[in-house]
Amino acid sequence: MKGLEIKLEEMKVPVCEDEQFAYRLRRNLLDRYYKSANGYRFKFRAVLAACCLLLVFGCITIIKPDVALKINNLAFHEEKKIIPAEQDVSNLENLSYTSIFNPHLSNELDPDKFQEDKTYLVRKYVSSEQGGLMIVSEFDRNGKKQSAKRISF
Amino acid sequence: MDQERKRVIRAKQDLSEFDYLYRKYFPMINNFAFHRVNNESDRREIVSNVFFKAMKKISLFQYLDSRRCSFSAWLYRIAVNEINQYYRNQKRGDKLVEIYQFNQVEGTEMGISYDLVKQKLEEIPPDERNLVALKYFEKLSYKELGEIYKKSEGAMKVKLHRIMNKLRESINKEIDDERS
Repeated sequence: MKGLEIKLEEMKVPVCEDEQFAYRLRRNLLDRYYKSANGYRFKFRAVLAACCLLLVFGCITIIKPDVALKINNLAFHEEKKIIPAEQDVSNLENLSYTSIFNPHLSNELDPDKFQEDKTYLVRKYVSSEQGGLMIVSEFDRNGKKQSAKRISF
Repeated sequence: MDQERKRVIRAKQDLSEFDYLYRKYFPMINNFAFHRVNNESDRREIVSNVFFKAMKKISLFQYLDSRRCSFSAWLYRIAVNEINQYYRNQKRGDKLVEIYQFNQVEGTEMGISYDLVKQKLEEIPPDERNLVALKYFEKLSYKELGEIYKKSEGAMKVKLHRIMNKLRESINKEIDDERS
């Protein structure tokens, strides 16, 4: 049996023809992949649209934050808190009575013997319902940090 | 090959391309399963699994295997794995195999019959049977076998040569017994 390979190659091999099964399998494949593909296509488009919308919102947030804030307020009905402007206290140097070189004190003490330690700013707030409030703010000489101390109600 | 690759890529969306591929490759895979599995319902299940898996993982073929092997080799590889899995399950479950009736082809005086070869194939491991079936029933070349098993042509020749030695002994013995 030297030429087994040749005989195998020459051997007649039966062919399986199963048209009914071929047709049924084709239908099953079509149902599974092509009908479901339409559903996926719709979902894909919906997700794509949502992504585009998010991208636009993201761009607006970066480029025009005011618009984003307005949209946010509109969506969540939040009113923007308006911080009232406080009195400008930057021109302290012009107030002579803030200094130790005060004519009312000149007879009682020698200002040269004093060294300036700290500077405070005192603000008083008055409410007809809740009484008064004084806020003492301490100025740091180095200008690094400013702290406010609540001293009375 | 390149044209075929484009068709495979388009088959995911294009019904006509899918139809072309299905009509072309269904007989090959069906015949291979027919040679390897005796039970009709099991054969149909294996062929179904092959095509469902192929459709599901067609993107993998597109990105990983399309440059290295043909679509037919990729399909045969899925079929080989399915058949091996079938025999592993059968061994585990000790299933009763019905003999599927098919058109028997009688052996010629000088040649050997398909039935005899198929009967003798039962004596060798399932994966070796797959190789013989692909080579001599499906008439694939060593190059195609190499693509299916991801090995070189030379390696496939050596492997098949060893299987043929086993098969030769078994068939020789059978023929001698018949003659005596």
